[in-house]
Amino acid sequence: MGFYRRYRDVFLVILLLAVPFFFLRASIRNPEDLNVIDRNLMRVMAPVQFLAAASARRLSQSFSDYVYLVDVRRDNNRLSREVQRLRHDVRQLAQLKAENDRLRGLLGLKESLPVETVSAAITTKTPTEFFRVAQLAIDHGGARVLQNMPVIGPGGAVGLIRTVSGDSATVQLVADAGFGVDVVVPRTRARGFVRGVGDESKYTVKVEYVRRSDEVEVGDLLVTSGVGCRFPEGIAVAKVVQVVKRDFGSYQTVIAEPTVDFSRLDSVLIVVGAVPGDCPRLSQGARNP
Amino acid sequence: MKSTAYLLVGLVLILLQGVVFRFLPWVSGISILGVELRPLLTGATPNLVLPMVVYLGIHEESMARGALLSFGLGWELDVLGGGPAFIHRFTLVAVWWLSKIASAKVSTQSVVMRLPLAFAASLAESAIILTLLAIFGQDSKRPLELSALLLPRAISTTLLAPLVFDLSHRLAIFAWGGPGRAPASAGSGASGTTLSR
Repeated sequence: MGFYRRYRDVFLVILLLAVPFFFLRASIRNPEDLNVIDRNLMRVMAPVQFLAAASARRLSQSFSDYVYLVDVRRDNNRLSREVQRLRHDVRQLAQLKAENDRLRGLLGLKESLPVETVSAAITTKTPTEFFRVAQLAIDHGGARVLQNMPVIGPGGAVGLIRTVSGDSATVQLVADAGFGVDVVVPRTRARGFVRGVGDESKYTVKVEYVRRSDEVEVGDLLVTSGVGCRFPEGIAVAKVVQVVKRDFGSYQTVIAEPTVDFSRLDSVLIVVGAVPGDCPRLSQGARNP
Repeated sequence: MKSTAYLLVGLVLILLQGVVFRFLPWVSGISILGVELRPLLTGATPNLVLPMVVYLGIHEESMARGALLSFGLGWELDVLGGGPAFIHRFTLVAVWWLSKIASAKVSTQSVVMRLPLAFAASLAESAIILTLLAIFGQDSKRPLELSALLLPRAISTTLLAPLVFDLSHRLAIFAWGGPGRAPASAGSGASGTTLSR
C-alpha cells in the first residue's frame, strides 16, 4: 500500500509539473489566450480584485493625506518665517532704494554744479517748538570746510556754514533771520535780495529790493544771481508765495518759501571751491553779506 | 477543510501582494544612514504565496496534498497575477518540491534556518520563470531586463516570510483542530514537529 502510495504521489507531482509545462509554450507566446476555466475564474475574481484595489487605494490615499497635512503644517511654519524675513528684506530694500535715489539726486546735483563741492551727511536737526528745523548739524568727513561756505541740497540752497568744529559743522538755514543772498527771477530777470525772516512757526523768507515796476508773480522761482561770490549762479532759493504792490514807494513786498524741505534732508553739498567768474576762493574769516 | 483554508488564505495574500506597490512609496521616501531606499525598492514587490509553499514543502508530509496545494496556489497566482497562464502553477510546484528536498537535507526547524530557504526559494522561482521566458518567450531581452528585479524581490519576500510562516503555522493549527496536533511553534522559531503527527 505504501509502495503504491509513494509512486502515486511521485506520479502526481510529475503530472503537476508536466501539465503546466506542456501548455506553457503556448501561454507564454499568447498570454491573453486563456482557457475556459481560467477565463471564468478571472471573471469571478474581478470584483474581488477591484474591491481589494479600491480599499488599498483609499487606505493609501488617507495615509498620504495625513502625511501631506503634517507636511503642510511644517511648511506653513517655515513659510511664515520666510514671509517675515522677506518682508524685512523688502523694507530694507525700500530704504536702500530711497537712499539710493537721494544719493543719485545729490550726485546729479554735484555733477551739474560748476564749482568744487564736498558731500556731507546730516547728523542733527534742531527743531523749534513748532517742529520747524531751526538749524542743521552736518558731518563733512574732514573736508576743508570753512565758515560761510554755501550749503546746497537736492532742492536748492540750504544755507551757509555757521560754525565748524572738527568733522562737524552747523548750518544757518535760508529761513534764518541772519541769512541773505542775491537772487533773480529767471522769468523776468527781476532782481532782489532774499533774507530769512526767522519765523519759528514756518519757513518764510522776504525778498527785498524788488522794484515796484518789476514783474513778479506768485509761484515765480527765485534763483541765485551769483552776485556776492557766495552761491554759484542759478541755484534755486525760494518760490514766491505772496506779492504786495503799493501805490507808493520804490519797492514791492515779496514773500517766498524756501525750495528745500529741511525736514526731509539727509545729505547736502558744501561749496568749497571758488565760484566761477572773478570771485576769489573763500578764506577763513569771510563774512556773510 | 485544511486545503480550502490554505487556498483562501493564499487568495488573500495574492490580493494583498497585488496592492503592496501602493504602499511602497511611503517606505521609499525614507532614508537610512543617508542611504535612500527608493532605488533599492525598485521591483521589491514580494511574493507572499511563496513562503506558504516553502512551509508546505517543509511541514506537509503528504506529497499529494503538498503538490496539489502548491498547484492550486500557483493557479490562483496565474489567474490573479496577470502573468502567462500555467507559469506559476509550474514554478510553485517546482519550488515546493525543491523545498521538500532541501528540508530533508538541512535543518529547517527554526526561523533562522527557514529564512535562507525562503530567500533561495524566491531566487529559484525567479530563475525558473526567467529561464522559461527565455526558452519559450519571443522577446529575448525581457528576461535580462527582469533579472534586475530578482534580488529586490527575493529580499522583500524573505523579509515578509516570517509573517507568512507564522500565518501558515496558525492555519495548520486551525485546520487540524488544535495546536496539540500541529507543530509546537513552527512559526515562532522554536523547534516543532511535522503537521501529520
